[in-house]
Amino acid sequence: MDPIFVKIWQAVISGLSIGSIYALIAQGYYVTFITTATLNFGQGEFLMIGALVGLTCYVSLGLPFPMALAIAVVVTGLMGILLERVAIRPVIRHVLSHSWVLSTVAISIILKNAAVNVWGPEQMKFPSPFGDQVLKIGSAGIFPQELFIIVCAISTVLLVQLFLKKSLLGKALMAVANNRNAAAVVGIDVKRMVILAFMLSSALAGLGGILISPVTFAWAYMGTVPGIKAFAAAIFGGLENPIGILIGGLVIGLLEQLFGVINSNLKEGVTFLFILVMLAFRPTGLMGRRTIDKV
Amino acid sequence: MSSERGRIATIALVFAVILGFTGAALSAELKLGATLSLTGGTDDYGRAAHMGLQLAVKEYNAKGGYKGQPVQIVVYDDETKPQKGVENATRLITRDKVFGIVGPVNSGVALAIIDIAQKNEMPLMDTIATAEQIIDRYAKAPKNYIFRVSLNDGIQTSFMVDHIKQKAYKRIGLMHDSTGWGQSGRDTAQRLFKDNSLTFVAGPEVFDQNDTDMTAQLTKMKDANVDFIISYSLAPAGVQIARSMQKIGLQVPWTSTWALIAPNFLKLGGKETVEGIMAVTSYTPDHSENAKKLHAKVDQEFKDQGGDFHPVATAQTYDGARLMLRALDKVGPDPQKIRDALEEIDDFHEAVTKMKPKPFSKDNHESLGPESGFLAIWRNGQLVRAN
Repeated sequence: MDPIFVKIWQAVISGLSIGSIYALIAQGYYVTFITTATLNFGQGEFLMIGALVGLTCYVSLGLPFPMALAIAVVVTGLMGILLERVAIRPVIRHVLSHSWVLSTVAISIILKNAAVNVWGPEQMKFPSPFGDQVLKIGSAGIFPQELFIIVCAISTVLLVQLFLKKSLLGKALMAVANNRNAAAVVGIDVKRMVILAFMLSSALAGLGGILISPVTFAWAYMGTVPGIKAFAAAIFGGLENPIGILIGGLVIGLLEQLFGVINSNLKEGVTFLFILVMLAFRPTGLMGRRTIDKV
Repeated sequence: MSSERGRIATIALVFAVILGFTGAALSAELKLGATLSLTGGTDDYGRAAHMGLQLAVKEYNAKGGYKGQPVQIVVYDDETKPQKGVENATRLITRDKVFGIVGPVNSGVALAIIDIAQKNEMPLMDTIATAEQIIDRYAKAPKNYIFRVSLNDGIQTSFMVDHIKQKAYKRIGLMHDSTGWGQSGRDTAQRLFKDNSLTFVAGPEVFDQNDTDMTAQLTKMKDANVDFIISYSLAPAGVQIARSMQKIGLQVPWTSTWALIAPNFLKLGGKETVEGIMAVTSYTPDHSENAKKLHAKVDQEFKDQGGDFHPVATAQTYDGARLMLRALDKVGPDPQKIRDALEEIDDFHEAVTKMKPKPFSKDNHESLGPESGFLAIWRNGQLVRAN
């Protein structure tokens, strides 16, 4: 086979794996943005908590992996409720208030410091439940965990969509997203839907954490970079379009790896430059709706 | 209002007096200072160094200290941050009035604080950090205040070059992380290669120290048909390189510096993943009677902190601290005289690392040289000699 094709194929496989994590976290930005027009800038730290809680359950307590995963998701979900109560609700009483930016960043710093104190500052090994035997997809190698990440992250994103579009609870949440006042008029408990949105958002990050830590190690500072890249994915795809966000996450993961093939020095810089250029032409993102504001 | 202001002034005055008194009382004590990475990227080394320091001072005090007076240790955590290291060094010199400083751990931190030590004429004993600049920067000064008990990057890389020549490897690849340490490693390797008329067929390829997928960089190594790779990578990146090599099916021997003898490397990678990877070491705990004794002691004394988990870092700091105390014995707690005395010590027979009884001289502030280390290889979870 052509060597350049081999290189690109390996980059595609590696890029899809990391990109699907960005997509998963970025869905969390989407859910809270459509319901409250706020974002949790601590998504990365919720990812980290999910990973470390999972590590404690799976490695220290010896629980089976599915149970560790469930506990990590539940814990981060509950923390999402708490986040809404202490960092969002008190500061968005006024429509123009942007204090939530600061309050969610503050929570993320607190979480990071707390994690250093509980789990220490070092990277820790998170053994993959699927072992470390390399699989081959064509010429490219991939660890079973990375394959699991791709499958699990993309199907979760689709499941969330199914939930929002088909289930009664999901439809209620979407109703709040479309028109808060109208939703309240027809008897939907808006406050509860907002809480649900934050719970969902945080749980998605927590799931992302336990999925990637066998690949990246688990540690207190693991969340910052994925948090930022997921944010880039959300902006790139269009904050209000879940499919755009999914594509955005995958594209960022792919671009990083593909640019790495050309020159590893430039991979992140060029990726973000690409996003900037794209946003200059499509300010609402790849699949964002263009809205016209009448002034 | 004015009465309140008066009260505040009185309180401030009382505090100032108390502080003044305690300050005076404290400065009469004998203090050995240290700034170490107890948290942050290189904390493995820092915590192990801390053990060596504590043990050296404890034993010194048990033998009566300096003329009956015990030596105290003042240790500050520099969090592996240069700025924090600068604060610590300044504080040790101006507030704590130490007679010497041990540390730091990280080369970036070291390069930031040696200027302070030199300017304040304060002897600094680097027992971990490896950048060549640390000693070289003031080598031409009338009096160099910086000393080292560690293998510098040039010596470490020379072991790799020796190994390459011995095994007659022809196609060498070079990789490094994007930190200052990685870049200086790259420069050292390129210089030594030139001196030995060797060339790299691939690289330098760079990666971020927290990258999780190095397949892009390693595929280039594979395409160039390398038979050996030098990679300046710390433990986490080292594990990721090994895993990415598995992914693309690249099987060649490779080495980093002593970064990959860190216990964390084995913990993160596991026995199978680190198998066959090489690293530089100054030391194996069983190389002499002195060393064996030290490590039995460390294991017992620091059981609750993980025991003898990083023998090399502990041993080098143990020797460095004892050299400082030996100089104190000879000339008393005067930093300038201690510096001079360090160059004169010629009866240090109890070293646990491989150094001469006269480790330093006017022109040489490196106590460990090419004869003090070797290239080691991970075999079944243990480090053994590579050659």
